[in-house]
Formats: sequence, structure tokens, C-alpha cells
Amino acid sequence: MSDLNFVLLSLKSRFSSTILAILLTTFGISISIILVQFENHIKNRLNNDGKKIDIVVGAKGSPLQIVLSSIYHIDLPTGNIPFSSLKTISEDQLVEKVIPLALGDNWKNNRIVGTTHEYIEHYGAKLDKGRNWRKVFEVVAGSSVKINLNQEFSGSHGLVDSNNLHDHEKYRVVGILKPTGTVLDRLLLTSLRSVLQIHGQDIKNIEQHNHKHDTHEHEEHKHDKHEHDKHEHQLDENKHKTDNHDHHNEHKDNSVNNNQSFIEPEITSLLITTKSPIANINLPRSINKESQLQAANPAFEITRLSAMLGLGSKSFKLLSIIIMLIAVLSIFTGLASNFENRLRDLAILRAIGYSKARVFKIISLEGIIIVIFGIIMGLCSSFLVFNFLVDMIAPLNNSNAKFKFSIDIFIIIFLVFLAGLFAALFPAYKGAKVSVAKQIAR
Amino acid sequence: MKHKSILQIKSLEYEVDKQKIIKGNSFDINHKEHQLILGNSGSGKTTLLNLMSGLLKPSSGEILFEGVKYSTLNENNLDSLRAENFGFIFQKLNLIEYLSIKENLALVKDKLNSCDVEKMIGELGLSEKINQEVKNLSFGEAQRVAIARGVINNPKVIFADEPTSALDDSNTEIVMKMIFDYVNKNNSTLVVCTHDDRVKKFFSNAMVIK
Repeated sequence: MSDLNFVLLSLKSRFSSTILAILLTTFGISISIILVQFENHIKNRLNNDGKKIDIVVGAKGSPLQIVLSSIYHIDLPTGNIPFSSLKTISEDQLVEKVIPLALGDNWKNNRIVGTTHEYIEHYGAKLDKGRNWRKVFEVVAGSSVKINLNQEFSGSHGLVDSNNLHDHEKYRVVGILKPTGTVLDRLLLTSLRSVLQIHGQDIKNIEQHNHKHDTHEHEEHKHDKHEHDKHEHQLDENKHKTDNHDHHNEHKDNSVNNNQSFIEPEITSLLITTKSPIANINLPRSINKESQLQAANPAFEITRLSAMLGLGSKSFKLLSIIIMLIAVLSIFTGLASNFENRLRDLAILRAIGYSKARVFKIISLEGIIIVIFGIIMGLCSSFLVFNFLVDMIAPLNNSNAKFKFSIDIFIIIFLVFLAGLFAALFPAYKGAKVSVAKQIAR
Repeated sequence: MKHKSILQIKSLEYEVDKQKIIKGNSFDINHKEHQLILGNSGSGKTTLLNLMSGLLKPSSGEILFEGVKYSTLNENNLDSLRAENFGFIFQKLNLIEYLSIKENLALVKDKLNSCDVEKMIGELGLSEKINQEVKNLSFGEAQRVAIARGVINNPKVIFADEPTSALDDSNTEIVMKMIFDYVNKNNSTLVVCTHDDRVKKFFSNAMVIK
């Protein structure tokens, strides 16, 4: 009989403890791998989505909220900013590139983003089907948006799906992007003008307004608006956050009352690439000091967020280490359980000519088999559970979370294998040193 | 050149806690000889058997197998010597309970032919129970399996420790006959240690230790 056969029969004879050890190993590996998958996914998405965006400018409010809503599209914007800020900031010498974003509506939870073609170019996205938008209400869809070319749809109010539709105007899909692995995959992109126009605004107004009014009037208007904004932010910041679209309209109405002849269009935010790292520090400082705008540094905000979430992630890591230790102990107890009776069996093997090394190998092999089964089952279950969680948890689904083999998984497997082997060493050593004459006389 | 004596025991001593259990025994066992070692309980029969088979190391003295001193062999060589040349029939049977009859017999040698094992089980009259775990066998059946395991490898020397101590007269006859059948068929040397006088009649050579 081969040693492997003997080991399998021996494990089968201790079925319950073997299964328990395998399940604990499986459990420990699954948790560790799933945690690594989530961590890597979040890290990759943060890096890819925030690539070369040095500063985000939005309405006064939480800088983290501005970053999350404008770069990662996972939070509500803090409010709106005047369209004119695009021109002002673009002209700053420290700025290399500015991409404007106008949010406010969605289609089946996919955000409709009014922007420029530069936004697509920024992420290096290529068209899979159709063409880029040329006219108002033409849309280019991200690869994971479940929509067809030439399909027409109405956007719904707000950033989550609702029955409150903008059915007076319909968007039409003219292009679909190839997958980019970035936030673009789940967005519907259109021109700034489309989003503004659907909310009763037009960029043309600002040009006409600039021609009609002198500098003094303009300054007065800006002052009025500033006061209004400040007031509204202080009074009702929560309302502002949860229903940005309403704010959009309220603000518009007030502006109309203040100045019947001019409605300044508003956008949500600006994504800025600066010319030098020093600008990443100086530009936000000057924007925050001198204007009604809020500039946020994504790198800083994400580091802050990671530090906050790090505590949770560390707890999970600790939990998975504890489970792994329990798994290792269960392998040890599985091998060492009923060891006195097993010693007699091992003594029989020694008596009929099995060497110490062979007995040592047999017991080690038992540990290795438990670990290998645990690793295989752990890998399979982590894959299944991860995909199940991705299906169940909308943000993961939306961000195209996929199970990926990484070096971390191989490190986990190697460490578990090593730990399992280590757990088998003591019983193997004790088994090999068995006193044959004493045991067979028992 | 084949050595005349298969086993040579020279001034063998074994002590535990400064108490001598084997006291300077010397004797030879020849090829194909059937040697009975008789002695009362606690006389050191099992210890002597364990020393002869290399399961214990003597405190002093020497044991030779076909002229080769055990003291010159390292542990691995001694294991190999045991695996290739010795068969054991233990007093307490010492079968591995969770293995079947076939698996217990197959443990003895890796490359043992499956047909040999099945043939042997057939000779034991246990063909129908070939895949049954030995813990479910009667004592008589298990004893037959234990004897079969001791002889299946065609060993040069078979060591049997109290093979009949738990048996009645008729079963003693059956077991001893079974052992001698295999021993004679394979031209093996047989060394039996027992306190059971009933087995004396099967041997022409008996050595008494006190």
C-alpha cells in the first residue's frame, strides 16, 4: 500500500476532526483572500479613477464629499458652482487642464455626466461602437451601462433611480465605450450643454449676459449670489446634500428673482490637472481663500479616508489571522487527537519495517493533505463568495469588481501551507520517535 | 556464502532501571529451525524476542543476523533488515483497526502483488470479508489475519509472541498448524516465545528462560 493511500485511510478513520480542520482552513483562507480582493479592488479603483486629477473644485462643503462625488461618483455633490469659474480657473497659470462636470440626473442608477470630450481622453477611453457626441442630448455610454446604441431614454431627477423623469427631452445613445476599468465604465457621458439645457439653463446666457451688463452690475450680481449661496448652505446643508437637483432649481428661481434678465448657468465641479506638484498645495489654498468655491486635493482626501477605513480593514485582517491560527491549531489537534491510540498503529508500522523517516513523512503528509484540501476549498469558496458579494452589493457591482489572482493570494497560500506543515511537525516528530516495543506490548 | 546460523545471540544483556531483564544469554538459531522459548510471565521472553528482532537495543552483548552484527547497522538499515527478513505475530494481534483485511496485509510490502494478498485471504477463508474493517472481525478471524500478515512477505524468520495464550485447545491446534503450514511452505525459521506448555509438542527444540 502506498503511503498516500494509508494517509487517506487514516484521515478517513478520523473523519470528523479531519473535516473540521479542512473547514477551518477553508474558512481562514476564504476570509483572507476575500479581504485581499476587496482591498486590491478598492486600491486599483482609487488609483485608476483618480489618475492625474490633482485638484477637484466644487461648492463649499466637505472636501471628501467633493472628491467622492466628482471623481469616484459614489457620493452626492456638495452643491453647484458658477459656470464662469471654469473660465477663471482655466486661466490660472498653475493649471494645465480643467474638465468641467455637470451632474444631477441618472438613468437606472447610472449617472448622466455633462462634460467635455477631454473627460473621455483623460481616461484614455476608446469607442467600441458608434461615435462621440456632437449635438445636444447625444450620449456616449460606459461599457458596463446596460444600454444599446441608438436607444433613447429620459434621465430621472437626482443621482439615484426615481420615477421623476425629465421626459420633455430624450437622450440618444450615439456611442458605447470599450471597458476602461475606471469610473467611466458606469457613466453616461454627454455635453455640458445637454445637462444644463435639460434643467432650463444655457451656456449661451452667460455670453449674452457678459455683453449686456457692465462690470459693476456683474460684480453686484456675483455678490448677491454669493450671499445667497452662503445663506442657503448654512440653513440647509443636509437638504442640499440629499437633493442636489432641487437645490439646483431653487437656486435658479432665486437668481431669477434677483436678476430677471440673467440666469447664470451652474455646473457641479471641475477636475483639475496642475502643472507642478507645488501647485497642488498653492492652488487649493488660493481657491478656498478667495472664492465661494471649495478645492479638494484627492490624494490627501483619499489618504484620510484610507486612514479612517484602515481601522476596519486592520480588524478584519486580525480576524483572518485569528481564524488562520485556529485552523492551524485544528490541524495540530486533528493530527494529535487520539494520539496515544495512533502511536500503537505507528509502532506496528515501525515493527513491520517502516523507517522513522517514513513514519514522519506519513504524519506530515496528513497535515499537508488537510492544508491542500483547505487551500483548494478556500480558493473555490472565496471565488464564489466574492462573486456573490459583488452581485449583492451595488457599489461593488457598479465598480466592476472582479476576482483577480494576485501575488497576495500566492503569499496567503504559501503561508497557510507553511503553517499547516509546521502544525504537523510536532505530531510527526513524536510519531517517528515512538517506542515500538513499548507500544506493541500495550 | 550462506552463514550456518541465521541468528546468533552472544552474551546478551538488557536492563531497565539497573534491573537486568536478560542476563547474559547466548545461543544460535539455525536456518529453517523451529525454536521455542518457554518461560513464565515476566521472565523476559517478549524482551528477548524484541532484542532478536531489533526492536530493542541490548545493554550489552551482540546479536547477528546471517553473520551481520546489529550494532554495525544504523537505524535505517535495521528497519530494512526487519522489513525484508522478519515477520511478526504479536500476542495482541496489533492489526490496524480502521483498515480492512486486505489493507492490513498490503501494509507489509509496497509492491506486494494484489493477487498474492487475495490468495492468502482465500486460504484464510475470509474472501467474503476481504474489504471489511478488522475491528468488525471475530477474535479468531482477526488472529488468522495477524498470522497471515506475519508470513505474507515470505520472511526468513518469523517471530511469534504468545500466539496461543488467549485460545482454547482446539483453536491452539488450528493456529499452530496454520503457522507451521506457512513456515514449512516457505522454509522460514520460526521463533516462538510462550508460557503455554500446550505448544511444546509442536517443537523439537525448546529453550527455557527464567
